[in-house]
Order: sequence, then C-alpha cells, then structure tokens
Amino acid sequence: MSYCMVIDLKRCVGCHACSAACKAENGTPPGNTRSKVMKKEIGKYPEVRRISIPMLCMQCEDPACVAVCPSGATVKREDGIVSIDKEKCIGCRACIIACPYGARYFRGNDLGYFGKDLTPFEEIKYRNQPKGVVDKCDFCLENRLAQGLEPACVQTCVTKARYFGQKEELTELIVSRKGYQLRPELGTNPSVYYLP
Amino acid sequence: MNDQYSLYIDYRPQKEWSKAPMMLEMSFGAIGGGLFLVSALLGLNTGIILGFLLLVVGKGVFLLADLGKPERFLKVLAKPFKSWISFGAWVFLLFILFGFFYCLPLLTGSGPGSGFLKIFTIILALILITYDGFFLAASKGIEAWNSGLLPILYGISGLTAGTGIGMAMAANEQAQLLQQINAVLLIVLAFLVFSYVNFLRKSTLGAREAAKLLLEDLKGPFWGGLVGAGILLPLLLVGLAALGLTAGSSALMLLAAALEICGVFFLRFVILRAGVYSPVI
Repeated sequence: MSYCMVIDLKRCVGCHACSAACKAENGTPPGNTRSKVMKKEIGKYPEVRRISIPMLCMQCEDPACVAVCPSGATVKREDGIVSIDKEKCIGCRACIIACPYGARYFRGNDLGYFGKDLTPFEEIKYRNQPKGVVDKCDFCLENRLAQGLEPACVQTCVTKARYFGQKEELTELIVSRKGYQLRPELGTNPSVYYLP
Repeated sequence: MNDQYSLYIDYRPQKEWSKAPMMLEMSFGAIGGGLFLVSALLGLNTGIILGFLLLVVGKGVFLLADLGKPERFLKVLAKPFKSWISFGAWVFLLFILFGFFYCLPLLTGSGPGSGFLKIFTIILALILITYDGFFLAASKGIEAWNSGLLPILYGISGLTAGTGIGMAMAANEQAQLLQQINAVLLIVLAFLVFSYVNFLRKSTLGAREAAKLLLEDLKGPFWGGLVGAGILLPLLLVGLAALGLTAGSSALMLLAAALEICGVFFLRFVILRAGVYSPVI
C-alpha cells in the first residue's frame, strides 16, 4: 500500500487554487509553500504553448532526503509518504540540498505575515512550522489524511486535474495516459506522476 | 519570475550551505585537521595542540552555528551507518575524546600519546579532513558535487594548509622537510583543482553550469583567491625556499602559510557557491 498522486496537465489551468488551499490548510510561513504551480513556455514560434506544472514533494520511493538525514527526522513511511518529525529535525538542511525537486524549505525565522505579532490563525498553524527546522508536503498527512480526507490541493482543484489514491488504483490511468515522473534518471522513483 | 519558482526551469545556485558558518566550519576542520595530522606524524608538539584546538573549537562552534536547532545537536548521532553527516559527527566526537587523551601529556611537559592512541587519532583526523567532501558528493540534488574528487580535493587542501602552518612553526631541519612536502602538496592541489574543473566541464548539464559559474561569476574568488593567492603564490614562496634559492625566512613562510589558509577558505567558498540545482523540468 503506497499513496500516489497523478496530475493531469491537460486539465490544469494554472489557477493556483491548490497553492492557496495548501497554504491555508498547512499555514506555511511567508515566502514558503509546500505546493506551487510552475509556468513554462514550450516549443518554438509559431508552435508555442504555455503549460502549468503543479509542484509538490514527489514522495519518492527511494528518497534522497531520507538517506542524508543524520537525525532520522525524515522517514519513508509504510504508506509511501515521506514525513518529517519536527522534534527530531536539527536544521542541518542536508535534505534540502539532496532533494532534486526543490520540495523542501527551511524556516529561518518565526515571523508571520505581519511581522512578529502573529494572527490567531498563524499561532495555531505555526506550531507545526517551528523556527529552525525543515518542512515539506506530506499529502496533508495529519490534518486531512488521518481523518479520511484527501489532501487539500486535490479537494480544491477546480478542474479536477489531480487524482489521489493507492498506486495500484492509479496504475491503469498512468499507463493508459503515458504518465511520467520528473527526472526519472536520478533513480528516486517519485510517487507523483504527470499526464501529458 | 519569483526566485522560488525559477528553481524548476532554470539552473540555480544552492543557498542553504553558502553562508559563512558552513564555509568556516569546513575550513577550520581542514586547517585544524591538516595541522594536527602533520604535527602528529612529525612530532611538532605545538602544532598538535594548535591543530586539535582549531579543529575542535573552530569546527565545533561553526558547526553548531550552522544548525537550525543547535540545542538538538546530539540527535545528529542517530544514523552513523546511513548518513555521512552522522558518521562525521561520530568521528568528530571520537576525535575530541581520543585527541584529548593524546594531547593531555603535552600539557604536563612530556610527549604526546603513542601507539594505538596515536594511530587511531591520526586516522580520525584523516577522516575529518576528507568527510566534508564525502557528504557533499552524496548530495544527489547537486550534480557538480557528485564527484569522488571532492573528498581527495578537500583532504589535500587540508594537508597543504597543515604543512604550511607546520613549516612556519617548525625548527630548521623539519621546516626544510615541510617546505618540500608543502611544495609537492601545492602541485597536487593545483592538479586536483584543474581535474575537478575539467570534470565539471565534461560532465552533466548541471555540472557544466557549475563550471560556467566557477569560471565566470566566481572568477575573482576562483582565480584570485584559490588559484592565485591559495596555490600559485605560496608555491612560488615555498618552492624557491625548498629548492634553496631563497633563504626561506620565517616571515616568508608565515606569509605562505597565511595564503594557504586563505586558499582553504576560497576552495570551500567556490565549491559551495558553484553548487547548482538542475531544472526539474
């Protein structure tokens, strides 16, 4: 049993609803996001297209971040999710360096959107975003998955471009639509697939 | 485009390990470890103590300063067989312990420890001057660092500075020997720097981008700081003295040692700054 996400790039309109939902759900600090949407121009004139590519932690089968973590804070769970124990993280940032997907960020300060005075929302959310540790997407493990809910980005996607479930359930979709992983040559075997 | 988003479509230098504490931690480790190693092998008592202190205090302080949660530093020992950083932390801890007992007799006026204690401490120091290179090489995200040359480059750089400081401190006969060793190490270091740049230029796209960064954006610290001040100038000073063409005065040797220390710092500075992420897409 391993969680997997499939993102249909034909459906994605780049509206950033997933980024906003993620930010609201996980209360990520200013300047940092667990989920984002990248825009890229592809092709050459006159055959030019602009595509939107949602990015998040790839929850790799063989994660580079787990191997380098010296404290054992980053672990690969049995359900396939790569999670961080914030109580164990020492803030060495080796995982950020090791991750080829830029999925992680380091919280260097404890400021909120309005400086040192945190809003009630920030006070609650930042308990899981302490200063001096690393954070990343974990498919909304504690706040949604544990309650039987889908990750916030999946639930909020206005074009239903995201599919979330067990890998076995999504394999047919991935194969039939020729889904691909990002940078497969690195051997990390991501659990996030993109449909062209 | 926002910097955080450009990560995915452009090459972007890493910023997490490009700040002063990381560079100083690596530099103190190399200088202290190199000096300790050379001094232990040649019996330079002052060098043994100075090297031990530089390594333990210098590296230790900046190592802690670089952590987001320094108060949790003991947790770094959790995975010695899986993580290079954890392995290095264990070696560092053992070095502090065994190095202390190795140096202890020096404080009472007798010679340093010997036998197993000496050999084990020297091995630990050797690991410490190379392991920064190992953990950089293990970072998958940055192709420019994925090279077996890095640990050797880091190790030779540390030994060069160690012999450099040693020759500035040693008495006549030992100073001459150290000058000769130092000159050879500087030549080896120059060759390794050349080989590393060559590896970058002929390797993956990410590594080639790092070479471009090294030779263009970082040309000042690379050519001026590392190659010029850190290798060629001390090589000239030490080489002439080693060949007996100049007197090899202590002032000149001190200058050479200071330049080599700068070289250690610039080597780490340019390698860390040239670490670029490849675009994800």
